[in-house]
Amino acid sequence: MLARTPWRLMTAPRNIYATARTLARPVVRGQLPLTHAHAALIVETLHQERTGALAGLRPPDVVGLKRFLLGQEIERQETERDVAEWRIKRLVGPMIAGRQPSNAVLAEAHGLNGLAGFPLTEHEVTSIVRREIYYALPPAPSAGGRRYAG
Amino acid sequence: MPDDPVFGAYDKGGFRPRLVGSAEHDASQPPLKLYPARLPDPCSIPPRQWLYGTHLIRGYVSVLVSPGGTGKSALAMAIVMELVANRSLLKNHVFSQVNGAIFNLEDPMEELDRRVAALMIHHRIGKHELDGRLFLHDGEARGLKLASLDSDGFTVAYPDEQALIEQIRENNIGIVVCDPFAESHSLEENSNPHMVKAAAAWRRVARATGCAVLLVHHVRKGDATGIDAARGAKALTDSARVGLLLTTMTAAEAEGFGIAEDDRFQYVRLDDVKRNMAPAGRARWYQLCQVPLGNGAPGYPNGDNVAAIGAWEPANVWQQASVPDLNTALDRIDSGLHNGSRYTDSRRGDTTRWAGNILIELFQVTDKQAANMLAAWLKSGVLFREDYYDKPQRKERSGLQVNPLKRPGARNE
Repeated sequence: MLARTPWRLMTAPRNIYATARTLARPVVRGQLPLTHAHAALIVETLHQERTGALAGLRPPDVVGLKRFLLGQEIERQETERDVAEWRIKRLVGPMIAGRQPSNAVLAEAHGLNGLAGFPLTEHEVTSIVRREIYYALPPAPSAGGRRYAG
Repeated sequence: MPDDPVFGAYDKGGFRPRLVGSAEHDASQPPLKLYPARLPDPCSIPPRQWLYGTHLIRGYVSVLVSPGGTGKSALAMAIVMELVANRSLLKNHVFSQVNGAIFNLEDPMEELDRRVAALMIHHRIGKHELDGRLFLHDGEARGLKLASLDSDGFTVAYPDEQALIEQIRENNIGIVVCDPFAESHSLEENSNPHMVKAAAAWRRVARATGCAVLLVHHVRKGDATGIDAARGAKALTDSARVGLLLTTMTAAEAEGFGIAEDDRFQYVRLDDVKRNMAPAGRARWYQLCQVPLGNGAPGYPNGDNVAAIGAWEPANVWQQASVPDLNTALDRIDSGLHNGSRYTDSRRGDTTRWAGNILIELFQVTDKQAANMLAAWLKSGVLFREDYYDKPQRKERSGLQVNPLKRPGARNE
């Protein structure tokens, strides 16, 4: 049986601040510049004012609060990404030391990222695992056993 | 990830792969092997291809190190214009006329135009002498990145190296100036391995094209007294075959040359502080002159004054004084004071006995110049110290005597 949306929620005024949080993910992933996100919030607020959705609130105040919410969400998601990265490194370290196949290591890392709600993109997870594997490999004998600059 | 070198090496149990290979580490290189020395006839070895004095040589990198605001950009630009116009403007020998390129990565093209115009006015260089042979590149539209870290953050890439080599060949460039060197790469300046890579990129450009490369570099904070004053890792100056240091005239030097304290900043000296291929020479002096461009506008009637560099020779008291005048001074030194005491070269204690007073009176030189003249005479043996009995003091003292055989104009048969 499908759950029906209660009538009181369907008729409730829309959350005018919802977009602010949704813009945080593309910003932290580097897909959207922060200035563009701010511009989008201003455009949206002006649209809401024209349609009367602000219900008497001053647009500059609304934009200010949206920017604050966006900043909070960005900070939260960045922390989440850092934690996910640290967890992936902690997970794959022993696997690499045990010479588990690379596809198995990658699968575990992607699984952990998914469990955390995909804070990192697939490419970022692969890069983290790749870097961990690279530094776990012994240096080539031609490099003299030392780190080389180029 | 079968195509990825890192995952591939890991799954095969191999070593850490080189992700972006540089030319000298490519697997295509022949294996290392030692060969016995050829020991050819010296007459059959081709000579070094000097291009400009003993500062620039084809196929090699020279480094010009200087504190900010000293005039290194003006000097580098003047050197290129000398080579392009085939004229010795700074009293250095120009071996051959070549096309020149200046990569000034700090200033816009308008400023470069002003500086070139100032040098042309100051040295009276015609437009026809530079037209089509002098190439300027500013860092505004597109910089120059000869070495930078690759996207993985630890391998070095050489994005503009091949393009630069092609441009040099296409335009038949013989001298390339990069001002400043720090803007031509984005590597870690305090890392010796990184600076070796950046300098090697320029060296490869010089070798591949046979042009001379002059890298202009800043000094670190503090006194600039030698090539080690260059900012950042030492590998850069070690890689260069010629190291030039440009410094402003010091207060002591200004006093020695009789130049006012306020004027000394327009005089700069160039020292060859690192020469792997030539004997160390004496310092060369240059003067920075303000040249009015005459580009006045209604709101800016006087226009711009832009610095241009020119050769300058310190006033030489020996050239100003004639042989009879010098002998007159030596006669007075030899005859001593009226009370029977002899003159001395020391200024300690009784300064009336200092022989420099005679030189100051006769030649209108400064104290320092007089002391230098006395030191030169003592070194050459014209004057010598000898103990004598000083009657007024009634004790043994040291005084100056003149060797008549070494007087100016004396002939030694």
